[in-house]
Amino acid sequence: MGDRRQPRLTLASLRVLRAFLENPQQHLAGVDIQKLSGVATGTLYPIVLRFESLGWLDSKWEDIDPKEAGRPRRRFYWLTADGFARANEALSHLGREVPAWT
Amino acid sequence: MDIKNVLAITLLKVAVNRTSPKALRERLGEEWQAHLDALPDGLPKLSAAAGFFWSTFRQENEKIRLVFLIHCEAIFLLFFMCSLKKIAYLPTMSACGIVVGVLGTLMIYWAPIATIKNLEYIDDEISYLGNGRKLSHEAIYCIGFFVVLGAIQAYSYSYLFSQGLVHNALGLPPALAIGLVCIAFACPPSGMYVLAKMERRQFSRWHKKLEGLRDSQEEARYAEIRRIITLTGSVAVCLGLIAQLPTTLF
Repeated sequence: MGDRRQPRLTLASLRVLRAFLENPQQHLAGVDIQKLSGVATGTLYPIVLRFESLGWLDSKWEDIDPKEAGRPRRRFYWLTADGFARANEALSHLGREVPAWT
Repeated sequence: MDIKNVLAITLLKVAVNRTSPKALRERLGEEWQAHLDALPDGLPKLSAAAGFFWSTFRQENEKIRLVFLIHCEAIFLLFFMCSLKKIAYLPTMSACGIVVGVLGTLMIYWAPIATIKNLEYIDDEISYLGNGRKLSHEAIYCIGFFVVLGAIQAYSYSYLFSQGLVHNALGLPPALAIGLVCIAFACPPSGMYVLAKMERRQFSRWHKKLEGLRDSQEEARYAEIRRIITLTGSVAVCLGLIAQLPTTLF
């Protein structure tokens, strides 16, 4: 079970959550989250790390060999079931339509 | 290679080296590099790298340390100006005492009515500052800056004094007067060092105590944080009263 502590939900963190909720089954890299949420990198990574430490997000490295691919691996993030429920709860307070967990 | 890309890579390296805890460095280094690679060259890369650099401040919540250092610096500069008789000593002390006392009283009143969100925020701040007693890089740079500044000022002031260009108002022997001037200029960095160390020690203690309560009931943890706020408020009130004392006595 994830950490039940409620993080500070700033506008930027809500935008990050919304980006995940709109793509609940997708694994998103940092650059994708930035494009979808419009949050600057300086704010984005502390938020993502924080949600991950609270168990709202999970992450894994891209399954490639950096030498073969000629670029560094990306790290993908996705919402956990607990994170999905908590994010929905947080955004529903703001009157957002709640998507279903499939 | 474009200068903006060179700058972006340099900023990225600095940001990775500043990342705390160290365990995160390797991960974020690779992740951020991948992020930069996905962006077009030039300004987008540079602005993203600047963001990574900024995020290291947010991870460590160093803004708190910076605010603390700025306050220390302001207080020491105030006392320094007082010692040079640029500001009347007693009224300044009294004014500082009143401000500190009022802030302390507000903290004591606020402690029992602080919301859980406020308490969580304080808990998070203490957790971020962690157990380490080492000073942050910012504190060390700040102290170093004041050491250099103090040395230059002490040398210049002593030189002017020895040349008779500064009036010896107290009629002290020159060697003693120069010694006192050197001590006065050494006060800001040494005071900042002592205060920064005290801050680290105190946060470390609080962190350990709160860690001990981690597995117990949540209410006990919040009660401890309320106690910390009340204690800090009481210390501020006492300091405020002490600072006001000289004006009362004389």
